[in-house]
Amino acid sequence: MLLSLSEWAEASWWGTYVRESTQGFAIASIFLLFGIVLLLGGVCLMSLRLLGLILRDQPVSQVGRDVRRWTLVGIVATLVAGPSMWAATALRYYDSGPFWLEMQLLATALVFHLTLYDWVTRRDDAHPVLRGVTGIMALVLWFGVGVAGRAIGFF
Amino acid sequence: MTLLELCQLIENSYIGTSIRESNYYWMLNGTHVLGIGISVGAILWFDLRAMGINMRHMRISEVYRQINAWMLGGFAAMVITGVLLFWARAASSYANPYFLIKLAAMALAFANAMYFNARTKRGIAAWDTVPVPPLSVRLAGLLSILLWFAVIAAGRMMAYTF
Repeated sequence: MLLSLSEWAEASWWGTYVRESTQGFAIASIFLLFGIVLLLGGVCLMSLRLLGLILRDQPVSQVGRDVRRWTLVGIVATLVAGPSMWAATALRYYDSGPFWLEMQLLATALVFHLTLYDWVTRRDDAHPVLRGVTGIMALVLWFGVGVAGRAIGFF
Repeated sequence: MTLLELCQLIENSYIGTSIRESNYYWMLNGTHVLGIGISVGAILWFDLRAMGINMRHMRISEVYRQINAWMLGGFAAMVITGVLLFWARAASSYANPYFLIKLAAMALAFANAMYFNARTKRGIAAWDTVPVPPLSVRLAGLLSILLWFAVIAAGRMMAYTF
């Protein structure tokens, strides 16, 4: 199924367009990086607050309100740019170990982000231990996605 | 010796070759990107505050103080890995137009930061707590975001045009 999905994506008009336009793939990767900056920037700020390392005099829910929008913009940008890059070279990615690692981490990170992370960053009464664990998990998961993604180009 | 010859010498040096052929080259590259994510990610929050868009309830100097260490840490990672990456590909970088664009954008971002610093020392007391600072401060914030995004875009283009 994953193989036929990859074949379909690579043959689709969007995959063909990104692959065959002169700078399509490079431009998609630039937008991916812009998204990553917004996403990682927001996750870092929020997680460091959850760990009590910065912005200690600001309530967690307030920092959450400040960064949530921008982090979501980052996630949306990566979810537009990333699949575009995938569609252009889906069959090569199908054989890539780091790519599948990245997808598994991404799925985990997204579920985590929209459930526990969202819950903890919207309230001021979460237990400090839960806050700390959430902050560390967010950093590990999102940075893990980034490192696995970077590895695709090299393996 | 021309600059190009110097870059060739750097690229062909023992250290340059070792980095290029190392199994861990991709990690160096990955750390460079993550360093950008951290440092530019941090600057972005300060710039958005300076533009009066985000965190309006906080003092500008307070936002700066809070993100400073993190920003500098990310910068250190980015600069160290950046120098090592250049070492491995000095001559190819020198010949790459996007590398020159990247250097120019970084120089402008630095100049912008210095200007902001000088301006801050003079008059920050007047607008530290206001939700929306004066136009020149907002413009400096916008310029910083645009320049750093230009640095990222040029850096990414380099990798595709070596």
